[in-house]
Amino acid sequence: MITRDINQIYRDGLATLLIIGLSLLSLGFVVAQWRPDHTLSSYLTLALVMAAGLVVSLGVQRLSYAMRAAEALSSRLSSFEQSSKLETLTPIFDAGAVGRGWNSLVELLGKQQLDQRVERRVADAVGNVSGERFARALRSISDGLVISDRYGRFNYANPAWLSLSGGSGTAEELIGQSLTEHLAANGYRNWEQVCSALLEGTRPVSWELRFGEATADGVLQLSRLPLEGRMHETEGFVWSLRNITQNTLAQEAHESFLAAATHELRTPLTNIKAYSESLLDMEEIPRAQQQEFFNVIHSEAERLGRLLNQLLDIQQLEAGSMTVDTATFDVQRMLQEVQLHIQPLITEKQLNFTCRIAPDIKTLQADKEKVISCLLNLLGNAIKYTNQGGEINLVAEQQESAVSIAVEDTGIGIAEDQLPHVFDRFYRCQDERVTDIEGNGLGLAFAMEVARLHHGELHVESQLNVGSRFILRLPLGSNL
Amino acid sequence: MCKILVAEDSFALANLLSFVLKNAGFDVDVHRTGLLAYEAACRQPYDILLLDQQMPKMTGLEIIEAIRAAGPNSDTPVFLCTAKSHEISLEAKRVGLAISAIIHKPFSPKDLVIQLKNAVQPLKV
Repeated sequence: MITRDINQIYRDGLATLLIIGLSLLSLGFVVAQWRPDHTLSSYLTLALVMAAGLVVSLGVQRLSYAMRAAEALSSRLSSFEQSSKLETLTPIFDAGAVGRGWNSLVELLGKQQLDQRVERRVADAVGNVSGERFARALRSISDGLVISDRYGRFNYANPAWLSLSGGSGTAEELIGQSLTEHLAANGYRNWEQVCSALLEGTRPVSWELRFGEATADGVLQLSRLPLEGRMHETEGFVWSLRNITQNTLAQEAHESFLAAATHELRTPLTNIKAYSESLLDMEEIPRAQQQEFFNVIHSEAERLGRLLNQLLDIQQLEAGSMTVDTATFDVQRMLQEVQLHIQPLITEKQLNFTCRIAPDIKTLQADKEKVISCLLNLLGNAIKYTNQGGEINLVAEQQESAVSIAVEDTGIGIAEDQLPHVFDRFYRCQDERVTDIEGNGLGLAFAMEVARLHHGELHVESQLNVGSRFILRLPLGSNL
Repeated sequence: MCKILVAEDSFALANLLSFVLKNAGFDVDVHRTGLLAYEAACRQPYDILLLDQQMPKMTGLEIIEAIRAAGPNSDTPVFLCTAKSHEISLEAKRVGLAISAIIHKPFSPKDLVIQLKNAVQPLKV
């Protein structure tokens, strides 16, 4: 473009010089003809005419330059109009005012273009990397995420939202749809309460969405945060959806444990308070009666202590803070120890006790004290719930990679509908015959925790009025 | 003599209540389960009922609901013993059951006797 300009201007320059030369020559000739004398004035006139010719031709040249610049400028502008490319707006070879103006404009444009290019490059680089990363992050997170406008219409939904919300359709299909309608289609139990507040105000807020009556049916936490626009206005909302079923279940279990523990602790406490106050307040209580009252206070205080110890055991086992002293021990000898512990109770209640230990049982790698406590709990229950003259069997067998120890009794048995709950903490069978027998519903829960701690199993088989059988199975080589 | 029905599943507490109430001049009828207490309340009228809330087979509130519906004790004053007095009082209000007093566990036997006597004042204790 510039080369063409130079050629053009060069040609123009030659033509102008020719015109100047011819004009001067012709003028000189005219003047010589008009005043043929060689006086000073005639020479002065000639010089003046020639100077005028030079000025005129210079003016013509300037005008020609300006015209060329305008032409070059118009050609650049028309090619820019056609291509819309800033690259076509190049400088022109002209020192004139128009050219200088144009050239500085082009320079400015070039700079601006460069700045924009750099900006775009940087933006592209950052945008591409982070955009792609963000997209991947949103796809991988387990929380459902939605961006909506101010009226709750979907702009974006990640895959987790689709699977968690339980609604139909793809993320693309959701765009533009109403979030309220989308969620309403899933039939949450408490939808009515949540629905009305969903788009109210702009403050961060969260709700619980429940699938069914029971917590185990599913609980979701729906949170709404305002999405700020450039002017700090609320442009839309960011919604998140999280499955909190397990957390809610754990929290409920904790609350019911606390409630049950409080109730269990209050029972002996109520008795201690009532008996001691009666002793203090009442006059003339017969001596035998007084003794009985003291006995009750003492045994209830003991019960309170046992209860607290068992609670601590269970909490420690659950929290994993209970230390497990794993050692290899002789199973036969351990079972003999257990028998020694329970013998007095069996004799007292006149029960028939048999112990069958398979001779091939050798050793077990486990926490001996915990296993003994577990078996004492099982045997203690068998003794408690078996009537006088009944039978209790302790049967130990060697299995392929485990030792199985069964505690059998011919006691009152457990009803089928109660069986799934017997290992729950504080659970006591809904059986009138159980009411008078002391127990807090922690023994079997503890035994189960001991089995779990050893990666073993504890099963129950029972028939009402026939008897029960608890089988503890412990792996031989414990990898604790 | 003022006739009282006591329903309490704790052996120790049932014994103590029996002793204290007899000592205070009541004619005491003690039952160890909710169901047995309910059956007794269906058979004969009492001057006052003292029920534990948490019992196997039938809770205190369930007994009250059943005896209020029909039978010889539909208007008898009832005392309900519970460790969850606040929740139970709300629950009783919700189902519209008239309870004379809710006794919070652990309670003082002496105070309980005074309250019971006040409730049956017009009667002979």
